[in-house]
Amino acid sequence: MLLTAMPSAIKGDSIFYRLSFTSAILIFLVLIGIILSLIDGGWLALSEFGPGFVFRNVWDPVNSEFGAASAIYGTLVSSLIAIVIAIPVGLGTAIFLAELAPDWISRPVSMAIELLAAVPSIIYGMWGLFVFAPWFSEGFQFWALENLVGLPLIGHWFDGPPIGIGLMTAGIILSFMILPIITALTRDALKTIPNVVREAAYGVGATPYEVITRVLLPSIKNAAVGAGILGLGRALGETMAVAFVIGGANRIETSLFMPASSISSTIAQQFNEATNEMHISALISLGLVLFVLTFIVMGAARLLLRKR
Amino acid sequence: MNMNIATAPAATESLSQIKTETGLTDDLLQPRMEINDLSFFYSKGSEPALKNINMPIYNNKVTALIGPSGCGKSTLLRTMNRIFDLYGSQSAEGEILLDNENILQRGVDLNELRSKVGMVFQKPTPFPMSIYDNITYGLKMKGGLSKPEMAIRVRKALKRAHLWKEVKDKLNADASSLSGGQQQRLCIARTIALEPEVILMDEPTSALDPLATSAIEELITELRQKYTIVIVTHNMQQAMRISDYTGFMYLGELIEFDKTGKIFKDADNQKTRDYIAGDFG
Repeated sequence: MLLTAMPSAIKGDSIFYRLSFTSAILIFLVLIGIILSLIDGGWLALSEFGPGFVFRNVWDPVNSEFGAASAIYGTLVSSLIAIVIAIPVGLGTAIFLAELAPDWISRPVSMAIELLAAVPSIIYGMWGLFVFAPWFSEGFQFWALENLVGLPLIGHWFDGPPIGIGLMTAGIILSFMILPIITALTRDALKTIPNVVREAAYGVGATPYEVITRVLLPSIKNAAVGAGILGLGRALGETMAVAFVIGGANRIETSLFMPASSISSTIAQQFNEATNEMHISALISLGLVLFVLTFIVMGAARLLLRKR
Repeated sequence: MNMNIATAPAATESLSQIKTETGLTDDLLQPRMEINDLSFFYSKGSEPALKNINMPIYNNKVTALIGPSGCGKSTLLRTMNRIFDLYGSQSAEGEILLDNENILQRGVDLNELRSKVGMVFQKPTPFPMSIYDNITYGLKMKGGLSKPEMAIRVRKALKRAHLWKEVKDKLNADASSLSGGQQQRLCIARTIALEPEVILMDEPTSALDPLATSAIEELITELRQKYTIVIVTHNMQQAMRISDYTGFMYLGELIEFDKTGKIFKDADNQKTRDYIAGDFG
């Protein structure tokens, strides 16, 4: 029985092996294909402006002068704002849900957070433009203009027209979008810590604050860093929500209230209008830059996590 | 069968009766803790997991709790420092006296209680920090110690836990780099450093190899001189080797409590004799 069954089993195995191997290779080929086509499409701009394309602070479709600096700046700064807001808030929410809240609060709130992750980005963009931006302009921006502009070092961040849209607004909307990922991942990590660790920590007479900050958070350090990086990855590439609220100006300004643009928002807003080849090629090159940027961030995250 | 258990002598008689009957009336034998009519519920309205437990925990003695899985040994242990309080649904009724104060009362300072009644768990639970910090963690909570005093305490605790020689050159190393047996001794050192009155141990050797186990057993025997120890164990040889008193539990009740020698050689209750003989469990 066994002997006769074996050959067909082996045959089945080898078919299965080949199928799964093909799937794996296919993904790899798609990746390579995307990179190659980005390089091919952007070649015109890249060969015209050279590697300096990345650092040129000019984006002038009329005179066909292009550089990625302002878009890279917008992408990095808006993502940074998002991370700076979302990490503490997300961590705090996760700690509350996993450690402090009774079940009847933590269940509905957890569910709400998961639903927040499922909201399409265009909704965030619309809400950001029509609801958040006016409110932000009248509330925070006027206040900041009166009270924060005079501050040394950071005062100039808030010196700009209180029009509600701009880098800061984009960053805040992005932070809403990545908050669910960061919260869910860190909460799940906290949940995986065995109860006996908590009992041991409380068992030496520690208070909840000391148990959380000295024992539980250090135990999930890696997961928390990973959550932050994943959030950053999403913020870097986010297009629609940012395109709505960032303002669409290809300039580098020191004020966070000024309109700016990110890589993805520039591509989304200009692709339809781009008529000459150089413009299209510059936009594709921008895409390549974003691709490399996310790659670097993810690679750095891997390295960071492996070292610990 | 239940009738039989309910009428078992130790389960129903008062503490003083137990003392007279077992000849434990000498003055040296002071109960450090007294458990009176203790019942425990995992959730409101559920069947009690512990039923009317009455038991003394004698000063500077090792008290072992034995019994088949699920009989309530660990549950009983977990009431003694109120660690069950971490889970909102669990509740205890009755009295546990520590220095004549009922620790089950409302308003008891849990942090203080837990520094008086330390606990060592089944699996080693080093905190994610250095060896040194693992021991000072609890001390810092308690407060009132200067840095040099703290260093002396750490050294003393590690020495008493027989870990000093192995770790004195790497106090700043991560505690997780130690072996399982060393980690468990670190956890004991962490508990000792707080200079508790009572140390609770929940199967402290069940995750360890025989060599590490015997190291811990020796340690427990030594610690008895300074501390009162309650140990839950599945290993009857272990209970026999290291304990002075033994309580046999079954289905949430304390069937019999007596000197270890008596329990293992000449128990009063048939159920206890059956369990010791290995007839069930």
